[in-house]
Amino acid sequence: MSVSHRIHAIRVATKREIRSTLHGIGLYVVLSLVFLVASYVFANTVLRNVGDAGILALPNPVTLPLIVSTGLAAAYLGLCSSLSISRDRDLGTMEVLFYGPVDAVAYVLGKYFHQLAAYGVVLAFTLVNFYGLSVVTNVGFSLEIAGIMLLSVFLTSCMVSFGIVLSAGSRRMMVSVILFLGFVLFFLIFSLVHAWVIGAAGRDAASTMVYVRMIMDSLDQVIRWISPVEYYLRGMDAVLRKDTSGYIMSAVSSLLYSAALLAVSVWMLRKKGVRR
Amino acid sequence: MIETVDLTKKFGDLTAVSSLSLHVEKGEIYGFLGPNGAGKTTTIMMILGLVPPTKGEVRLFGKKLSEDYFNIKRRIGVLSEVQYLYEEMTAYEYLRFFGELYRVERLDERIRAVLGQVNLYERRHQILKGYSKGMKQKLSLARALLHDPEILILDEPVSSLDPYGIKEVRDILLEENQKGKTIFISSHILSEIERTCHRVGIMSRGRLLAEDTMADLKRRLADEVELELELETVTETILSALQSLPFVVAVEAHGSRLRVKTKADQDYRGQISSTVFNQGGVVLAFSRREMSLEEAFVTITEKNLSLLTKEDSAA
Amino acid sequence: MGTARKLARLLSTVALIVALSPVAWAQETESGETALIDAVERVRELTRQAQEAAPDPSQAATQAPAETDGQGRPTLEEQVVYSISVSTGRQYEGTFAPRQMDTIYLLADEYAILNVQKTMVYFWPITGEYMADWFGMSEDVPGRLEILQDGEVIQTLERVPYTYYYPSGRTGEQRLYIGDEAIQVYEDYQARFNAYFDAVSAYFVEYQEWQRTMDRLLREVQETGVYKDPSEIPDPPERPSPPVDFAYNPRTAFAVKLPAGRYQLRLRGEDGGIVEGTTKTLEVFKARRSGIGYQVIPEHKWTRRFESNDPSDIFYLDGKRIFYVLPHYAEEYNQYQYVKMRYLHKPLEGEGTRNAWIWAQLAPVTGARLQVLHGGEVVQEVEMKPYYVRQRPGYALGYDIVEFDPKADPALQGRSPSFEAYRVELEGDRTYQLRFVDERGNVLAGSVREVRPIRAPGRLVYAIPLVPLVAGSIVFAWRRWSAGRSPASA
Repeated sequence: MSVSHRIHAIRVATKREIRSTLHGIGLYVVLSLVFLVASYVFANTVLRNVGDAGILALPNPVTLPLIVSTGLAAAYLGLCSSLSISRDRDLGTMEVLFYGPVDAVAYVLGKYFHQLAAYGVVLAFTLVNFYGLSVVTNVGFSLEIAGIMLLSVFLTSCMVSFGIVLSAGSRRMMVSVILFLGFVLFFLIFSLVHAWVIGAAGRDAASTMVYVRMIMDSLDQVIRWISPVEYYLRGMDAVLRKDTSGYIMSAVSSLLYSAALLAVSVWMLRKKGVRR
Repeated sequence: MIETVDLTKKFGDLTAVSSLSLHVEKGEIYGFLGPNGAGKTTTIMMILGLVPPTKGEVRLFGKKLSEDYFNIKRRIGVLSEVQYLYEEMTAYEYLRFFGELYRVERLDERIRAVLGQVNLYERRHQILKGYSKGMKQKLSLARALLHDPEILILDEPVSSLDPYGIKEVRDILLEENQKGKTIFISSHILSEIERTCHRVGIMSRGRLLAEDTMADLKRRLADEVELELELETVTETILSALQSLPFVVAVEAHGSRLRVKTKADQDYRGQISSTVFNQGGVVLAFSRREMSLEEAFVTITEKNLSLLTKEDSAA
Repeated sequence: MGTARKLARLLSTVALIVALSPVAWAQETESGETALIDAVERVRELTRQAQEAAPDPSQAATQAPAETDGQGRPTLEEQVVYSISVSTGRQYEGTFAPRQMDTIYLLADEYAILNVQKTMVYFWPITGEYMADWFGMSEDVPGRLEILQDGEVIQTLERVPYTYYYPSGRTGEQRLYIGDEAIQVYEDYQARFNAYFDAVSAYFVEYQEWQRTMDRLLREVQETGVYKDPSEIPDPPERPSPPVDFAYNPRTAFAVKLPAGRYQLRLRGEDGGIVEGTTKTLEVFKARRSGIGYQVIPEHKWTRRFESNDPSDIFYLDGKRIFYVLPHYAEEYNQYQYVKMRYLHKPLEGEGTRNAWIWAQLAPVTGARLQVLHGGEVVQEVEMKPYYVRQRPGYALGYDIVEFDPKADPALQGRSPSFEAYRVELEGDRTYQLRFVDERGNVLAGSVREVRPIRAPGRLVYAIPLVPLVAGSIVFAWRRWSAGRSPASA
């Protein structure tokens, strides 16, 4: 019985939150900014490089700007998640919800599904944006793009769960936001630097570089299970390789990651309580 | 309907609520009083399951909350002291959200009804950010009533209201009580409690010091009874005769009025009356002055304080 | 492979001397046939000895230099090592596992040659690699190689003969033969080698005979003053060509071929015990993806070739419509495993790349045709042809790429082609597909590439992102408007 009550509470809470998101201007502004960044990347990397070289072999060139925009959008929703619980607690609205038929599980999942639903809107605009770009530039809109777009849902799931766990564990909004931004920036920079040092893995690379690589590789063994970015990158790799099982693995592991973080969030919420 | 057994909450070394055992009957309006920091809000939070007790248990409708969490919660309406609203919503949207959450049937009808009850129907499409404090409080009351709960738990329900608002709310509560709702009110506006509640519980320093009907509580609390007499003439002989009575504690004269304090162990009105008569006095009016809830509250909590202080120093 | 190349060059030189020197001797000496045949036999013997003494090519890369330039030579330590020869897809490369390296990496389902040998090893810190003095000491440690999985012995291997065979010369394709096949290949090669020397001997005999005939005819002309009819003048004998192929003298080692997985290796000595220092982990890995890689030669920048190994690549064109492609087989491996497999003697190689992937270019695709498709229909079928890059004469800058056909274009006579490739010429702004098919018309897996001409979108690329903002503004304005109606319109 409690399952159906819980599902009902999740559904209603999600609906309220998504309406609130859609009625605000924030998401639209962020999306436009994100797409502008993606367009800039597209014009200044892919289009320019092809123009300079005359001929170039690339995986679908929309991939990079798509990754940038879905990554940024997911990070934005993660950031919103990192605000959500601490803000609700701070404003007291969480307490009011808990007066009624809402428990910690329903509340946390409501927050989670709200952000996922918001990402559905993001995806719709992303589809329009990148399909538009593909058509006007004739770069093509392939199955991989659809695969990456779908995969970005799992990235968002990880990002949102990550934001929620930080938010559930912090009493103050500022703390959870700083923690989220700090972690995400660290993960992102780590991924970029790691990719760079691997790229610089020439046979004659200086031994200092080799040691840097070795340290980063060891760190990567841990970070690859913590960082939402790493799950996404693994999935994307599977998309580009047309590796269905790798893709499914990435999606499943992202969901497990999310589930684990949400479980921790519920535990933290119960421990910290709902009061200001 | 609401029952707490040996309910205790400790925050570190601080005992916020100590061995609280409450029992609120169906259809009753229960006033929950206590000075700031007495543990009232912590108790309410424990009743609602928002703060886990260190010891003891809470039963609502005869069940522990954990036994049927969602159904029990759907049968309770809560109004908190501070109103926490989703300010980007309109009143209608706000109630619609909670109505859906509580699975209210014929929701639009219900929204219209409760908004009508609190006189906010005309402002149902206004964004809540523009609402005054009083309007927010009334809207929260509407939210608490929306799902027609069997128990209403109200924390300072009239704190932000003007006298008209207070009357409106009082009338609503009495009306809801008439319909059979059990109401648990925590308030510092004692006159309101006194006017509305059937029974009160008084807390101090985490302990329930007294719990009874209003009349019995006052009666039990009074050590002395204050009688007011209006005489044709007050003479020294009458005063001396009254003061010489063994059960009289004090006598004060204010013109033709006499205020006589007697012990509360018996009803001494007959003896007072005959003493005045014997000294040639004529009694024009005789009344017994009732102790107000405020006085009872102060009496109880002060007694309790001195008692606790003694206990503390003895310890 | 530097030493292997040197060896190949040496053997070529020997063969050349063998081919030419008897001619000189024959002209200068009077001793006749016997001396010539003796000379050829001596060269044959020297060549054979050189071949037999040639070191295993897979060990040449890790051979310690006799003396390092001005650095002295570090202390050598006697070790029992695994000498390893692995296939990289194009060739066999050598490395070895000194005592310090615990794990050996091999490709799955490919033969690798492993040998347990006693040799002198040192670590050279400047290049960060272990070197072995194979020439000074390389003793096979007797015993059988045991391969274990999950603690159980799954294979026990004896040493078997193996050889490397080069069908088109020592710098060309390399094949590994194992067991009787290796012996047979070597014997066949020896037979061709001997046949060649026999032919050389016969050639000199015939040549001397021809020389004598010519001398006689010359004398007769001088004496009679009558010129001979051209039909009376004999053709000189045809000089025999040395065999183009080459096979190494077979040696013995353990030939290991396993499916992907993790194993243990150890050598069980003749006394029945495990030889100390021979227990190693064996990581056998396979390709994550395979396909057909393209080397692309843009017509307008023919020296700036690039590779496209990943089958998900799309060729994007901006204005240019002509390019050349060269296909090769390609496989994608884990970079760490692949690099460790090749350079196990260099401990730092590949470190930090456990999660990186690398495309290995394997053998070139031969005998295939390139098909160009549009809308699912084949619109062109292209054969591989040689091309020549001709600089424009005079003050004109640039070059033209022309088909290398000396018969049709006499200016190309005496020249060699600049490259061989498949030429692709596309029309208009249409989208095409490229793919390779074999002789039977089957599409080669992983060879399909899409080709798309790209369009410059101008400012539209920055206008499309504003769609959400426009949509949001409408929603926001509607919301404000509808909320603002209250209470008057309620």
